[in-house]
Amino acid sequence: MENIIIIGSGPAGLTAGLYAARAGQKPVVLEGLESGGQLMQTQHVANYPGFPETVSGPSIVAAMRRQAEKAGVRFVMDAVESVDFTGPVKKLMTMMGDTLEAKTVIVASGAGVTKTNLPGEAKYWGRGISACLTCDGAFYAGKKVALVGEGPATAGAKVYLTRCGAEVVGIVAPGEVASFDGDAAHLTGLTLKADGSVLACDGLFLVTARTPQTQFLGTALEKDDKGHIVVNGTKTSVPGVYAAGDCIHPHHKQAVIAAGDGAVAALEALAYLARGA
Amino acid sequence: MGVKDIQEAEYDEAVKTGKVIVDFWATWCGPCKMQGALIDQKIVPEHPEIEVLKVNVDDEPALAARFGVMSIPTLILYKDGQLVEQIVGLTKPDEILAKLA
Repeated sequence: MENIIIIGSGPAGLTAGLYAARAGQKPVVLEGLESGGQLMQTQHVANYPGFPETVSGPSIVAAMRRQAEKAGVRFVMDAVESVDFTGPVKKLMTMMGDTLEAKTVIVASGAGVTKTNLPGEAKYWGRGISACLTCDGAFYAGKKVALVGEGPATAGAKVYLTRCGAEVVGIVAPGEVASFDGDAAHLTGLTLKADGSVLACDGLFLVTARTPQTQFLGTALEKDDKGHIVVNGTKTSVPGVYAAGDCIHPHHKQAVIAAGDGAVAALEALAYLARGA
Repeated sequence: MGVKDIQEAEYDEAVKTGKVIVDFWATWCGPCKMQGALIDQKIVPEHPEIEVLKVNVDDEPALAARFGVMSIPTLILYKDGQLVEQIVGLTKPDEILAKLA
């Protein structure tokens, strides 16, 4: 059994790991499906303290990870599918088919794009529709792409895709889309709600508001109606289970806040272990 | 048969016989890391009859283009030289093995 298992490898998880490792706990960090978290999708970060010149998200994550590894964090490439927090020993059932046991758990599972659930989305997911700029942006060099989303993230996405050599033909809010259209194999465009016109594109990227990735918890922890874990500080509804970062904040989804939460959660977990609960 | 990186020039020869999984991936793709771990840890040790070929799409853009790969992870499964299925998105070992059975 582990003393501390951390779910997620973004700023919250990596900082929690650093603090727990420096306290000699040899924590395990489960990397999750989006190793490094949402910062991996951001090319320019200007609001992470300590970097007066803008810095890329992946380079911040890489530095955090090196520091955590140096401190003694053990990284495991696995993702949690379900949990059992009913007993004093916390159990995590993973995609690799393992059941991991821990005295304390820190949930730092972050947030991800919100699917639109519009007609055609499921059909063309991975066939023209993507939520991962860094995974799939380069495939659209010389092709036409649309962005479906709102807010400042769409501007960053446009810059990134343009640098990939793609032509961004439109930025459309999810509420303005009637359907995603295509042939048998691939997306060919989207239909606009307003006038029924079609915006032709070879691909589109969702840059929508972020939904907490907490479905795997089921009802094991108290959550709000949007799925954020309800916390007091970083304490969840289950003693010995803490939560940090974008999975707890309805509004302030920021890397520096996530990192701070991660430190608090680790210190709380260390205090819990010290109490011998 | 193990795991190896594959380049365009060797591709057709490599998928000609037996059961083959081609894994299109990239360094910065999170789900690709999970897909790779699932294949390496759950399929490779227990299925020596299956060959796993890794295509880094940054190094081999022509192979990705040839198969219309527009999203990764993408897997292409072959049985005796026949393309069984091209799967987009993270796929569990059981599902992969069932398609190659």
